[in-house]
Amino acid sequence: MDLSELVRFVVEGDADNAESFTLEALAQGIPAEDIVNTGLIPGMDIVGEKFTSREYFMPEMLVSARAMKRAMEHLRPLLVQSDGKTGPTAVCGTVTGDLHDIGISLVGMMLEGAGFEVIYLGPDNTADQFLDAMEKENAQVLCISALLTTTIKNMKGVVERAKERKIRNQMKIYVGGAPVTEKFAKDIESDGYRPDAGQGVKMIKEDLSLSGQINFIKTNHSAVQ
Amino acid sequence: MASEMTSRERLRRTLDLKEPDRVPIDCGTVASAISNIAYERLVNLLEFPSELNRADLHDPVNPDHDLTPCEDILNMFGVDTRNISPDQPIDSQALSKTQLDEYSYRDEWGVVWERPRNEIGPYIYRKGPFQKDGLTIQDVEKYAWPDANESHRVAGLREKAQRMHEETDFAVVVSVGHAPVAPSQRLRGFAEFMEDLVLNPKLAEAILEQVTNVIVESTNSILREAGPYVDVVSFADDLGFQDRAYFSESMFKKQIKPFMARCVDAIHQNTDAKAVMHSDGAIYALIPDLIDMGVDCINPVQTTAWNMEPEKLKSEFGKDIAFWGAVDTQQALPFGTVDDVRRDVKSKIETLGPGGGYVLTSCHTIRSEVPASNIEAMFDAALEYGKYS
Repeated sequence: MDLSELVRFVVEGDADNAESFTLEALAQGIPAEDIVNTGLIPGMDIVGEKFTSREYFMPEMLVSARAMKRAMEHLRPLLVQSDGKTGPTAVCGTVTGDLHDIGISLVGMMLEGAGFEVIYLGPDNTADQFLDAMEKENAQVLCISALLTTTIKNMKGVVERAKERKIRNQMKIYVGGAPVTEKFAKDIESDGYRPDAGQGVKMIKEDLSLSGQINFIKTNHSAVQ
Repeated sequence: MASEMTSRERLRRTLDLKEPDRVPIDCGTVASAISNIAYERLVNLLEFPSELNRADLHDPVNPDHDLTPCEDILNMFGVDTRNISPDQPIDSQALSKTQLDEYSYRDEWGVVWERPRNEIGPYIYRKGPFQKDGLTIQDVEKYAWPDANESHRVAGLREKAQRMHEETDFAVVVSVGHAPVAPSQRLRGFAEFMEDLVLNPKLAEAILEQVTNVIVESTNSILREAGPYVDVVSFADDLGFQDRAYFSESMFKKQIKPFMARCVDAIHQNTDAKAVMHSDGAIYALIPDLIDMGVDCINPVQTTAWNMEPEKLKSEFGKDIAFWGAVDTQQALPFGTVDDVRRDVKSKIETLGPGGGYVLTSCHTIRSEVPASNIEAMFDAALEYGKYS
């Protein structure tokens, strides 16, 4: 089967065809890992680029993510590694006092589409809630977001708390949201900021590859009978 | 410019895209109120101790809410606008809501709003009645929509508006609530509504249609009372993120604009007042359509958003539409110095002011963290730099 078909179904947001193609590919004995790495991830990469270039807007992006997820449901059980994860782990949520989670939920979906295991904490998390989740999940990436000018100060609190708990060097912390700027991200000593979800996920993938931490999806072959 | 104008003349003239005697100043009408927390500091700075006894200064279930300053402060700041509101509008944040617990309430549309539990913060919508799998057009059509025609909603509004019009020289502003996108998203869920626009456009259309019917009815009933006495009618929607509009231009034109146009038409059919539309975010690409629909002025002119540089907006659209807002609430007001705020005000007046078509205010509600000295600086600078020579 030509896995570029699946790329197209993801880019076009065609969930029904993405799902039936995936089931057919599995039936033909194509490893789940190949379906993800050659179909879903490149598909979502293109979606991210189209979003960044403003060819795609939020509706188109959500529909593509939905197609990716529908296919992924069938692949996830086959992809689980020895640690029970499908790939590197990212914790995502908004900071204390901020319930605006539309942007960060999009980042979560894009990370999933890039092969990450995403622990989505939703809105209004304290620094310790984030960091407890990071430790519990043995996660490498923390993505935090704020929309309000009243709450972006709490991003600094997360970075500071990670230092206090002496776990700052075990993780990458990325920040995003309407009032966040490149300068702010530097000032609070986060690991990075991008203005949209597509660029953000690209940056995270590059950072993790460079630091040798990335270990993208490996098939648990024993699960594929 | 001739002798000093009244506030009403000043505002009307600028919205006619002509230069008045000075740039008119707004506070407390179109998304330009002040958080009670910031207001408390402001009245201390300005030494208005009686305002500390205001009944609405502290609200245990709504600890971070918006207030309009008292008359004395509005006059001190040279504010040209005064707001009149219906007592019970169909409005998500109005009085007609059911408090569910200390942290959440349900509005009249059936949407549940929550505020953060870990820190004091404003309410935002969290869950809508249409946020479920398998929603049908029939479900939408037979939903118990709020009745905009109930007479208690606008009781006393005509008298209030008439009094303000006849007994003062202020520009009178009335809000008619929302345009169709924001309520549709709250009812259906933000992501779900976005997906419907692509995957199930008929369902999205049915929601927009019903929501628009309520809005048009509500607009008619409010303006039947207040229409003859107001100078400005404001309405609000949500069309933009920080870095882009919610929708592509083509989706907006095809799927959203027809409904929004009905809302704008309802305003113009009821009054000769100007229609001001509020939407945060990067809405540059949609402005030609807003002009085409008959929107006279846009607010809040979020100049820190993508493609919203004031120079660009003024040169491309300044002949067709006025601007209301623009003083930076993302950097200058909350995090800048008094001088940063003064510079921002001066630059916005220099860019947006020439030829008229600019009403100065903060480009969103002044939030709780904004220092009182910065609020004072914004209004001082507006009076100082705003004179047309």
